[in-house]
Amino acid sequence: MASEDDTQESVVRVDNLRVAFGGARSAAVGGVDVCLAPGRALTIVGESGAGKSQLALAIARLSPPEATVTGRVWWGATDLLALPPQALRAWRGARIGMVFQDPSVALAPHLSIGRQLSEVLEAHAPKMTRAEVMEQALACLRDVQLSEPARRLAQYPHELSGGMLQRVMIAMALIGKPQLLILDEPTSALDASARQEIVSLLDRLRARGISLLCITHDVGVAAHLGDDLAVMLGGQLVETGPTAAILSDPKHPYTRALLASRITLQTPRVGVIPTLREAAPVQGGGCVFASRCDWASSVCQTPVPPHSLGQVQVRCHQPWLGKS
Amino acid sequence: MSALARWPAALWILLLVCLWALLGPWLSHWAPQTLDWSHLAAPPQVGQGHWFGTDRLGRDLYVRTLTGTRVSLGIALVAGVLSVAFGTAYGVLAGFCGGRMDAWMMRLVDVVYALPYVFFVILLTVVAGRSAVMLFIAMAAIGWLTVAQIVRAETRRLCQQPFIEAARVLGLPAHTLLGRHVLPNVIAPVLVYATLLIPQLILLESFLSFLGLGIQEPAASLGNLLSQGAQEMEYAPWMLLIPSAMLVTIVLVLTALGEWCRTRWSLYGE
Repeated sequence: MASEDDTQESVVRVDNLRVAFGGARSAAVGGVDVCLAPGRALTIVGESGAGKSQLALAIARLSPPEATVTGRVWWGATDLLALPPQALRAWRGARIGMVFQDPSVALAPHLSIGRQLSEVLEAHAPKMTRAEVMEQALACLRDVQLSEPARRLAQYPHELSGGMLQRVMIAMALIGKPQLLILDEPTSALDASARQEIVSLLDRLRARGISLLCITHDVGVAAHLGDDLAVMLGGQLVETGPTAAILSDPKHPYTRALLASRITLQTPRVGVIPTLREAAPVQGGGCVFASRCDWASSVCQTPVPPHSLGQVQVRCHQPWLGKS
Repeated sequence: MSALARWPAALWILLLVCLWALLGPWLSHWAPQTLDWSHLAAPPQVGQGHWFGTDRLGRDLYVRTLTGTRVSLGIALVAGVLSVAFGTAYGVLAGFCGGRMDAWMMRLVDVVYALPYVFFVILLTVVAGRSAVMLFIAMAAIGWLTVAQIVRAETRRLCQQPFIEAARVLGLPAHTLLGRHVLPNVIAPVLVYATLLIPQLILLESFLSFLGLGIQEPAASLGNLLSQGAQEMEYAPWMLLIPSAMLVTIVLVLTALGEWCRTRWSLYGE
């Protein structure tokens, strides 16, 4: 995995990552393994509280101070989790970019777009003249296809729409030329058309060789981005594999329920996932879905190692049960 | 709510008082330290130009009250600026660093708060001697504490805002984060607090001068004028009443102004 060549290092490999709050019993992320190849997109879907965001934050070393993070995040031969805080700034922005859910609060409200872009530009290339910085800032906005980029530079965040702001956020994240872009629900705060535009923008970025780690609860975004999909529940990845394979033939009962709960024009009635009957603690390493699963039996209380079914990895003892 | 509409009047009164304190002494032909032996402890009158009367040594009270107001306002302003500057820097640093650093820095604030203040000032006078600089330091030593607490709380709140987190993950250096993202956002509550701090500092200066720890004779400040007035209050009540009226007016007006700013920008609660 480790390589001397910097361009080949752009694989991030997450190894048994755990993020726990207040003791080991309530792990937000419970031992997750993820591997991301250069120029590929990995989408992580799951319900609220599944630990998706905590996973993304942990990779970017942004976990809240009260969280206990263990495991490894390998970037080439470097373990990001072991980096001292002083070394992080060289990685943030320059190798890992991050885009947040709600762009209207993720941009400083009191600074113009141009000012914020130039701050980031100056942080990454300190020896530019004022004119060069503004030129670069303009180029950044053109790059994400923001309309009237020259006018936007003088505008403030409240003057732009959510979709435009998300483009600005992506433009800012791209300034440091990161090889990995982590997107934490990049479309959740946007309307349908803005969502479509952002997703196609992400598509173009991937074509440029930027790896995307996209956290979303929107299966539609996952389907559009393609490549790989991971379904997260209760801090675990219950099903991982190529997006197309999972979407066409979901193996895990939770994945099936998640896909059935999508609202489309064709579904007459929306499928409902059994809600959390109780907080569903993972008893002795049993299946995280057991308390809500219609097909759960006693075997589901025992630990579930991931089974390989074709290209897909599933954490379910009886993935064949209940399939139509 | 009808009271709110009246608040800005405080601003005009304050401006008038400041203007009066600055220019008023020139209207009288008496100097603040000139002794008029023929009018010792004279009541207010028009004839000799002792409009507010004189004190025990025959010094004109009109001029002394106005120059004393100048001194009190000036000292409060300097001590206020010192308090705000130091408190802001301290609070931002504590809030931004967080963790153990924050805990220690704020415990230090608590410890200084807990010191008996007058005792502390007396100690400072003994060690450093009485001077204007010592007075600024003694006053700023108590003024910065609340500023630091407000700024620290505001910084903690800001640091949890997504835009600060986003700026951090974009690889911005700490000084940019502090200077361009955190500081501009804590300035507003600090300025509002400063308007409430100034009248407190004026009272504090008067209190210290009253005790003889502040401005010394023959210079006048509202505090030592009050102190002298209190000694003569039985047979020369104007010596107490006139500086008191000035002090009460200024403190009321400044407090009203601070309250007005606070409700106007609906910053931190009651």
